[in-house]
Amino acid sequence: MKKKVLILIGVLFSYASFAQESDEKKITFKGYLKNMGSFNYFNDDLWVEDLTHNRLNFAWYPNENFSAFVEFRNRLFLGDFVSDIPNYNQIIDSNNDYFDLSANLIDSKSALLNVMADRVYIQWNKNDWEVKLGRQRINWGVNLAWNPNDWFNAYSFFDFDYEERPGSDALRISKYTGVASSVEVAAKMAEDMDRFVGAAMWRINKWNYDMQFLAGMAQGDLALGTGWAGNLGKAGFKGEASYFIPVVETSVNQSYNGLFLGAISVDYSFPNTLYLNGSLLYNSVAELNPAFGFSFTGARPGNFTVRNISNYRWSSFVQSSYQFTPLFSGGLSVIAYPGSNAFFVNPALTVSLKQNFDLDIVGQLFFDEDPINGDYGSVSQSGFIRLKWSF
Amino acid sequence: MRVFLVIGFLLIGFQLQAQTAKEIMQRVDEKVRGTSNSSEMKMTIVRPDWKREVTMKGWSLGTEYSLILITGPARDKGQAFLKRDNEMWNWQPSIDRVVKLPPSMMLQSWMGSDFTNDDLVKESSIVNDYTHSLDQDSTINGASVFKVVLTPKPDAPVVWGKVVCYIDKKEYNQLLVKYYDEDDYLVNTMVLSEIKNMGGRLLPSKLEMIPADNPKQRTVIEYLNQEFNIGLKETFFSMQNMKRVR
Repeated sequence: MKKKVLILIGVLFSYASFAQESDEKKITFKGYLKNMGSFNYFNDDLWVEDLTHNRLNFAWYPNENFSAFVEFRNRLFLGDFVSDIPNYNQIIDSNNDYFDLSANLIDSKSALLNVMADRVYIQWNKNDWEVKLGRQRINWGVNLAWNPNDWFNAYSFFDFDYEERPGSDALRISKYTGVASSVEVAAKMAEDMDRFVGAAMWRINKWNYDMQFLAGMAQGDLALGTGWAGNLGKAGFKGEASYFIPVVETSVNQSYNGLFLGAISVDYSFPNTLYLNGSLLYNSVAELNPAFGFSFTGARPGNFTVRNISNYRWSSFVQSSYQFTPLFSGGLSVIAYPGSNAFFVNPALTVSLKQNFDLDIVGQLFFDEDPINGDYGSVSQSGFIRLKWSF
Repeated sequence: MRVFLVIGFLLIGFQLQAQTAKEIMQRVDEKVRGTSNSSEMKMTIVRPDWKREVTMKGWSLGTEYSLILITGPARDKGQAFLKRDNEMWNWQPSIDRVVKLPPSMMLQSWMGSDFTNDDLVKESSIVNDYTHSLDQDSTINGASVFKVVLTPKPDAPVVWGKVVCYIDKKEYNQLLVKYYDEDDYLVNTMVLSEIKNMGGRLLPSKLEMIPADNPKQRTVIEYLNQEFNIGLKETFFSMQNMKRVR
């Protein structure tokens, strides 16, 4: 039934978008097709996967005040993970959402095709008001790497191939109180307090700083937060902090009486295109040097919340990127965890092959002590080569 | 007495001339900008063996406010840039995020082109951020032109040491602009051509920025259309509208 509904929505929107192409762009359609090969060494075993990833974004603008959006993420997995990781099909099919809009259309020992709608919402605008209902991304974060204010739909920095990041099944009402200020109230649908988030954010702009103040309930915690984005001289200076106090016991808040999560960052862009970003994250209840610290920080199935964006008490991040030519740019991100010997190295190269064709080569190298024998070294090494056609 | 008169005339003459140079630039500035304007443009980055295109729509009010919407290529479509005074934001609809950009980004290349962000969102003003002087008149493609030398004021948000503009005396259009660094070396040359009627004004519709150290490469901006004095208010340049413009 679910599969049929998903297919039906897709067919209807494709039909409508082609039928109305000339009609003043009332319906717009865009997307991409990517193919990514990944080569992963875990304990000297090589795992190879091929992922074909298609995105289809439809938007409908019937009149000035109303619009509707549906976006599909379709992925075909082939390779060692599909055949050798137990329950891989369930891991791929799982999500944090209230409505289950994800289905494995092909589910065999050698291939897995997952289709999901990760944005399905309607939007209503009038004067200073904006209402969004449905699956949408509610992005209250400020920083590049870590977002303690991303209460609704936290994501992992390591999951680089999911550029759009997850959404939430939610209702959001915004009132713009000025050119750079607003009040937002949002609530995420949930069956129980384990997953419920309901919060308000007040955003203002003063002294060339964007500032935000948040309060609400998140997974059973009373949550308070603040964030800012401004400048120190010519450099960007951003930060965000959240404090979680358990009020109702849920699966996420049994281990603390109060959890503080804070991140600050500074970024600078040189005229020669060199860009630098440095950031520091603090999690008051995480251990300095947890065993299996990297485990599950990637695509963690089930209830991934903002509290899980790093398993370490201190996390530091430095990113540099440089454009060698307009067609060719490179970047290097390094994450180190002060108080532990773990670190993460993430080189990346991007080449524009043709208009609308990009090639990415990305490495993800994790180093840590082996929790069993204490040996220090690379826990996992992954290399990705990705071709992307945008349309 | 005579000497005083001569000095007096010289002083007045100097003042007149200085004012004239500034007035010329004011007229040029008013013509390309209006009080407010909107435009659609195509930017092409040209290198000896490849090129890339970016299309966009832009709105501006004075030098204080501007909004740019990327309409192509597909990868970047829907992104928008908002500038208010000296603050700048980037809207990324795919992740529902407004990113505040550091001021250092203003002097960086615009999407890999030979133009800077400042060239696009025009934070610096050819009228207010420079002192102006008139050099000898000359001709470009048969047209008689003023040659105005712009020297940045000490605190101006400008990377150049000097800018030299050649301005068509009849239509007050810039036809050629040379950008020099602080050591007086030529860095960029902008050639303006294909004069067309846009929004009721005769204006160059093609701008080519050519780096002096690599004359085989260039970035070309072609205006597809422009409108002037369209009554945009300061409130148009808002976060809400940055997310809404299409």
